[in-house]
Amino acid sequence: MTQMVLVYNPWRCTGCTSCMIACSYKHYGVLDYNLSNIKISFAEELKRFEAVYCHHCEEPICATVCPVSAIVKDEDTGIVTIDVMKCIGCQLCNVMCPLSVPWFNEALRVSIKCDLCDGDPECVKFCSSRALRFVPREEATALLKEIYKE
Amino acid sequence: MPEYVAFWGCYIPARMPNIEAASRKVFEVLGVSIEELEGASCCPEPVISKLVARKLWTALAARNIALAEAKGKDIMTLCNGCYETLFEVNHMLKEDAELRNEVNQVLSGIGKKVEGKIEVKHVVEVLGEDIGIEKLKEYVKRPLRSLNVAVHYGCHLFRSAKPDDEDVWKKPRLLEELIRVTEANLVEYGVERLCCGYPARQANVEFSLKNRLHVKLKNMRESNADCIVLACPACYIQFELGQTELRRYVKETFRIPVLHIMELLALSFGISPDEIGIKLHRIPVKNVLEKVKI
Repeated sequence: MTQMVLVYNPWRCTGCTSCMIACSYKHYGVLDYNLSNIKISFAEELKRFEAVYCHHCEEPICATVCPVSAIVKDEDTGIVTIDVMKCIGCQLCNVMCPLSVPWFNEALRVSIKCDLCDGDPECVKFCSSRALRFVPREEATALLKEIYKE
Repeated sequence: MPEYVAFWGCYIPARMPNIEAASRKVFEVLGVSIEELEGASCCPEPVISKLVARKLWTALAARNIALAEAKGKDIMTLCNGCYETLFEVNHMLKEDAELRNEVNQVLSGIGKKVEGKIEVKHVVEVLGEDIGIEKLKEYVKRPLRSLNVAVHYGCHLFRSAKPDDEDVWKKPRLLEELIRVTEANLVEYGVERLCCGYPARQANVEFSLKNRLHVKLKNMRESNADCIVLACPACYIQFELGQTELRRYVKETFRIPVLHIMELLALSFGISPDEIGIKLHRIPVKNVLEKVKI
């Protein structure tokens, strides 16, 4: 099975934040940036965009460090998920992730991260400029090398 | 000359009759036939409607497309949001026979049907491609040479069928070309691509005004822009009303006039400002008219 991942192109992003709005609505039924699993930021002085989002790593360190094995990578789809019923809220995954993707949900007292909407990511559907795409991992790697070649 | 059905959307007829007047005048001069789409509804808008009620969003857009199909003419939108919804749904209906059948079952209740026979075009494509940049230059009677224009593309203008750069950047580049047709000076201000903040209002008004609109306005002012030119009534309302709203959050005051591309073209075609309702602007465009000696 071809494993698909998100890829973000900062040279395409307009900062509309529709991806963040779509993510929070899909998972919580509200429009709240704080509940989004993807974070878009804009550095005004540099006039540059960047995004923090889960890459569903081939060897996810978040899963490795989880003391209760609440984080699992599906070997077929490649999707890394947190079982919120198992999570004890230690936040080790938040700290260990090189991109600090998992975040602590104060209301639920557990760590939360992108689940790729079970393979049909909502954020991508709302990206007018195609800054966010859902592509095979090999294509994503090639695109990222091209984007950050400078 | 090609013929189109005009999809005016909600904002233009209700809140910006100046854009509608300018568009009608420009197409009259160009000899382009514009037919009305009687019974059209809201497109509906492409973020919240699509997010909270996907099937309703698809069916309503399909109904609008069906109305145009019945006339046998392509749809022309003057709004980036209407463009995104109608273009995307039209594209999906053409590509996905299963979805088309499902939608047609819904539409059969009101005696409508979509077959995927027409195209949805933004007005910048109609002007820049169907009519052509060189042809448009022949109609410029009043070149706007001394005017400094800051272009704002608007996010939905980037929506394309294919993900390649050429397709994604086609319409924003056409908008720039249309501004150059008027011989106005297109200033570079560095954050042309940045969103105006209109969609962000749904989640956080303060963020929308401070982190998006304010950033754009500061850079536009630094580039000595006399006005902002765009192709979307939603961005237009964000820029016009937003400049007043912004005073709640920042100490600076901005009064940069905002023009739809159809208004800029109308002025360059020699059409009188009074004929296109230029006085209806919430931020007066007096300095723009003085600069181009109208």
